[in-house]
Amino acid sequence: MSPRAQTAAQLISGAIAMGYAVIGLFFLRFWRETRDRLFAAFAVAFWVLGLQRVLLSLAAGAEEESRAAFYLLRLGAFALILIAILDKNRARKA
Amino acid sequence: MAAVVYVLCALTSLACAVLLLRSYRRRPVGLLLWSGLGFIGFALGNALLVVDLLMVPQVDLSLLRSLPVLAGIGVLLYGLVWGSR
Amino acid sequence: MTRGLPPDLDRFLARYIDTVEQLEVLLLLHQGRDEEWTAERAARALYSQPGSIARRLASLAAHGFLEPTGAGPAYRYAPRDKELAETVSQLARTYRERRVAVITAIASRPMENVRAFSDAFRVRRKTEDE
Repeated sequence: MSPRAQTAAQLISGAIAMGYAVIGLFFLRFWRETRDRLFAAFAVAFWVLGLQRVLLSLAAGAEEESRAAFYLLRLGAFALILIAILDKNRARKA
Repeated sequence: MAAVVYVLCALTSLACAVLLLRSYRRRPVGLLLWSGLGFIGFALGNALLVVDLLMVPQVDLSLLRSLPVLAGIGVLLYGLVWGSR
Repeated sequence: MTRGLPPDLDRFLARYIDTVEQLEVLLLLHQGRDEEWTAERAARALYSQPGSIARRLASLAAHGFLEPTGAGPAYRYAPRDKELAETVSQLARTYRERRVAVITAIASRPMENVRAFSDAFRVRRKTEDE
């Protein structure tokens, strides 16, 4: 990648990480106001995604996303979302 | 192995999008539309990740696949900021 | 926040009370707190359908306001802690004095759109309010 493209990539990556963090904050607020567990799960999930982005950028040779730690983090985040959805449907449907 | 994870992530995002957009059709709450579209962006980003890893390893799609994610985030944030009274 | 109602009532309503019907069931059992109530009996008192009243009773019991009392199913008012009991009493008083304010608070709850987001993830729909 040309240096300019690399800078663009890092800029976008930073924006994405920040975006995830802010989204997580919104879900945190929703959880506090509704006490709905789903929002807590989404908040944590998005923060983990943000963390993954940041770690990915900081790691050397950052193009290889097949590194175990990174995809485990991502898996964890989405697994949490899936668990939240299952939990919502398992609980009493009143 | 990584590809399996990313396929799962793409499918989960897609499931979220489908649930949100389906709900939007019944109850037109803006937040549902924007968050549904946002999750489509995430699904697309993960799908492109799989493509990048498996199908076109010689080409680096990292810039391209960030774009739907960024768009998804933008759209989701828009919905959250304006739609969460 | 709805103008007028104290914040703890607002929070209570937001957390536990979805509809006016649910509020009325809760207050009915609170008022007749030493008695057992079946869905049929409560429905008659409220001029409503036993089916939906039964769901409300089950939901209130799950949240810790009522306890089941043997076959029926029948319920008795039995809040799980003092704080809850006091809030319900306060709510009952407020509902008597300022009915419109309470109903408005239930109907136009803050975070309504946010709740819609969460509800979207129920794969099978709630049948009551669609």
